[in-house]
Formats: sequence, C-alpha cells, structure tokens
Amino acid sequence: MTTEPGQQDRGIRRVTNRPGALIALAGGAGGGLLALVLVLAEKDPVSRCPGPHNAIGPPLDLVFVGLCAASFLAGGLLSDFDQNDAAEDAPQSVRDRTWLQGIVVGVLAILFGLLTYETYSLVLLEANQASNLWPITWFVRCLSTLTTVATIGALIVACIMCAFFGKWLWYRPRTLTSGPPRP
Amino acid sequence: MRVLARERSVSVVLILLIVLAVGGLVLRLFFFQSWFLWFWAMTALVALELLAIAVWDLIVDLRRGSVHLVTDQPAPWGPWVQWSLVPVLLVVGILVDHFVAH
Repeated sequence: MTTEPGQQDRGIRRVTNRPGALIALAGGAGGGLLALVLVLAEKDPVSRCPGPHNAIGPPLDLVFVGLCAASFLAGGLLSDFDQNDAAEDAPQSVRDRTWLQGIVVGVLAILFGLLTYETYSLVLLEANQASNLWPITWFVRCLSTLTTVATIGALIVACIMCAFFGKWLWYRPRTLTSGPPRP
Repeated sequence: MRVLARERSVSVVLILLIVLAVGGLVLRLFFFQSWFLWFWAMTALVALELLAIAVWDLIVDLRRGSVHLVTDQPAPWGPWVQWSLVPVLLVVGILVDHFVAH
C-alpha cells in the first residue's frame, strides 16, 4: 500500500494543527521513552520496589493532585479552541457511526478489564503482601518515589494522562458559532 | 415523569444509578469490608455498566434498529449541569480516594 506525498503532508498538517493530537503524540512518545530508559537502566519499578509500597508523602502528594487536576482542566479547555464546527457537525454515514460505536465498545472493554485487574490484584495483595500480581497504580506509586528525576517524570506523565482525560472524557455542550455557510 | 417517558437516556441514567446503588450496597455488605477495595470495585462496576450500554447500542446499530439507550436529544437540564458533571465527580473521586479510602 502506498501513500501520496500530498496525503502525507495533509496528514501531518492535520496533526500539527490540533494541540490535543500533539499532546497525545508527545505524551505517548515521552512515556514510552521513559519506560524504556528505566528498563535499560535496570531501574524499572518491579525490580526496585519489591513488596508493599506506599504512595508519595505530603506535601508532594498535594502537588501531584493539584497539577493533575489543573492538567485535566487545561486538556479539556484547550481542546475547545480552534475547533472546526463544520467538520465536527457534518452528518456521519451509518457505517462510520457503527465503526465509532465499535471503538467505544472496545475502549470500554479494555477499561473494564484494567479496572477489574486493579481490584483483583489489590484484593490479592491484602490477603498476601508477597503477591507478584501488582496493581497498575503501584507502578506509578513506585516510580514516583525512586529518584528525583523519576518523581518529575512520573509527575509529567501523570499530568499528560490527566490532560487526555480532560480532552476525551469531559463532555462540554458547545454553543455552535455561526461560521461560513457550507457548500 | 413526562421527561422520563419522552427521553430514554434519562430513564437509562436513573436505572444505572439504582443498579449502582444496589450493587454498591451488596459489594460493601458481602464482599469488600475495606472502603479502599470497595472504591476500586465500584469503578469496575461503573465501567461494566457503561460497557453494557455501549454493547446494546452497537447491536442496535448493526441490526439497523432504533432503540438506542444513548439518544441525541437535547437534555432536559441546563448545559452547565453537563459541563460541571465530570469535573465535580473527578474532584470528589480524588478527595475520597486520597483522604478517605487510603
């Protein structure tokens, strides 16, 4: 399958014109890179944090909570700027709508699986502190207390994730602006 | 009551909240004595409810039906209620998880 250079340029322009897409790409690449560096440096959370691990203590925990909440708001509010009402309100075909609904089902199924795993692993840990099945949140807890650099990295990644949640999960009814008439 | 009869989404939200309340009570009384574990179990239950609704609507789409649970009619309450719902729930969730459940 080949792609025309013009199509590639248009695709790149569409991404660079959308702050949310740039945040997603930078966050995904940054998070992946951080995880890779930690593994290569043998500082991955699993090998450095055996056994129960507490969350980061005060007052830094409040910094995490405050900045994550601010990132959530910023992610939602920034995505309101420069949006193309005409493109977003264009009528969808039945096929597109069904595909979109299928993606929603897939995302919710993954979310349900992850939350079930989190709950199950926490239950196991309460029964047996030496359980090898770690809750997902423990990796963040562990990473945030390894070193100063890891703390800052964990804070950045957590803020980027919260910005995603603000962009994608925060429903804000829009007042449609009267743009130029559509052809 | 007329709103419930006219707008299916509102009825679905109310039914979900009732299921959530009853399910939460059952989970707390019979399964999770720790508030922390109960909190996480409730998040999974909410995700399951949302998944069930999405699957229902997907099946309706595939069968070219019309009985969607999530409709696109204007909500009977003001836009500020919808605007503030997620941030309020988020802040409450953070506060409960951080200062009560832990």
